[in-house]
Amino acid sequence: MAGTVEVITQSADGEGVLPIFNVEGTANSARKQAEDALLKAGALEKAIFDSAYFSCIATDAKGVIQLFNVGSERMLGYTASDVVNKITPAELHDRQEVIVRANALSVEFATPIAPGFDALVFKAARGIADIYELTKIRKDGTRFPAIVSVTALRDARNEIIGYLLIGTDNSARKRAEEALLKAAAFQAETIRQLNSDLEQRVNERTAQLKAANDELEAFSYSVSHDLRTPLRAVDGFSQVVLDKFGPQLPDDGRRYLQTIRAGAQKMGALIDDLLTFARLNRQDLTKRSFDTGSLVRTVLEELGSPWPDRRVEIRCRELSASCGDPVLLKQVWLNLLSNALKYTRKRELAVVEIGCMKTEGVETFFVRDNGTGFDMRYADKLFGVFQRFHRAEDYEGTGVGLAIVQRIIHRHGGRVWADAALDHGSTFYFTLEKKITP
Amino acid sequence: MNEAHSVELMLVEDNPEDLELALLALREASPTCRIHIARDGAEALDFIFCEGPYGGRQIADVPNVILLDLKLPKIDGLDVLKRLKGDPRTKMIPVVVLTSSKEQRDVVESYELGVNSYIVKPVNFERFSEAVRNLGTYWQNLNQPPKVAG
Repeated sequence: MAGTVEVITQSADGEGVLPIFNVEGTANSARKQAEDALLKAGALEKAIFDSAYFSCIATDAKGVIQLFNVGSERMLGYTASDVVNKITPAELHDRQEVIVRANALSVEFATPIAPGFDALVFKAARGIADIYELTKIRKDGTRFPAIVSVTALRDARNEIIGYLLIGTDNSARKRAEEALLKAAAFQAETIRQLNSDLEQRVNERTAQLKAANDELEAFSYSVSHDLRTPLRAVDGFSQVVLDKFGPQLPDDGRRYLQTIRAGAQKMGALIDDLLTFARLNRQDLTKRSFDTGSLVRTVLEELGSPWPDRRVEIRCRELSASCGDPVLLKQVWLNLLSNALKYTRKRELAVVEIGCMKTEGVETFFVRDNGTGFDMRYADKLFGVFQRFHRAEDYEGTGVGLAIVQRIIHRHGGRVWADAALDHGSTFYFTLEKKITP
Repeated sequence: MNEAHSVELMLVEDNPEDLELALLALREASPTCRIHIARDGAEALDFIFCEGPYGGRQIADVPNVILLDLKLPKIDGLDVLKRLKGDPRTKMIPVVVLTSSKEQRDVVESYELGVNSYIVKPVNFERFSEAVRNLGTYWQNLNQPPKVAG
């Protein structure tokens, strides 16, 4: 539309203005044709001008309204006579928005622009196509969003003689936009709500877990203190009886007291092993890389190497470094090696082989002995708590050692398994999580 | 004999069986040792700091060594330890924690509070007696002749 309409205003006596529209390309025809064309064009323009759904406002160069169409009257509630020659379109707009627009334009064009009519036509005056959204205010003070297109009107010498502002009521689109925004906001809110519900559930579960953990902690702390105390009394006073009155007791009496003591001590060992086992789940892993060989040597020394009162041959191959919690993995080696020593006790020469190899690309450590072994039919029970494969009088133990081994290995992400034959020794294998970092 | 130390060893223990066993082990190791017994943490602190029923005592008259159980009624062992090690008048008294607990947090906390030694009471009485005998450094302290002032 910009630049295609020319308006000539006749400022007759100030009473009213008669606008005559000329459509380009009709000027040089014959008079009659011109008149016809003018009539046609006039009819067309009148139709456009009278459209009830477009507001057409034309102003003079200073912005004073010269023309106010039916659409404008309908939209804004003013009659043409209310506004023509009286006010500028700026007064039909939200004052605050006009100020904002003036400020924005001042910044954009680096020149001060007054927050009035200038702000509405500044761009159009410089030949820049300008369509903007502003809130218009009706005569009764109600408001509606409008889209306004501004065009400068020029005479034959290209001087600006006025402006044309064509506006449409943007309420419907605004409502659709708002509905869309509302829907989007609703969706966002729903998602936020779901997230917050989820978060709350996670928090609740975490709190429950922590409570359960704390309870377990308190329980094992109490076990650690309170269950051992009466056992000390049982063992201690049995010993006191033996010390003070031993000579007066018959042999059976002394033996029974020793049995009481052995029972108390066994229970003490059970409590300790169970607490160790229970603690394994709570304890954090502190992983690092360490020399497996030196750890194994330390363990062997703690187990009494080189065992002067029995014949033991330790065959330790070179062991690759381990990556894991050294304290816990020491417990693994301690349990496996003490088992190997225990179950070879009845051998003329105990042979314990320690080594590592690659199975399916994973470093696998093993402890092999030539001891009493076990029946592989029961292998699935091997790592269970309190599972024992031997009579207490043959081999002492609490039945927790291998359960501890398995739990530690599993916590490292590794695997533990055994291979054995009754009376032909056994081999225990384990792997560790390959590496902490890739 | 030793005028500065009317009490050579203080034993803080609430459990009567443990108390009797500890006394048996202590008597075996040092038959003439002057032992004071406190049955809870509050009584132990009253004695050391000469408060309450022990108001007539002199605070300088400290025991040579304190054997302290951790799980005690009223004021527990760790709090007793905190008071003793936090006071310049008493922080030099050797304290040996003697407890059932193998809990790592107790051990760590005791050492952080400045305990001199930590003994887990074994179920096996012979090992318990041995642990008491092994407090050798403190027993030597007990047998030192009195210091003569000036």
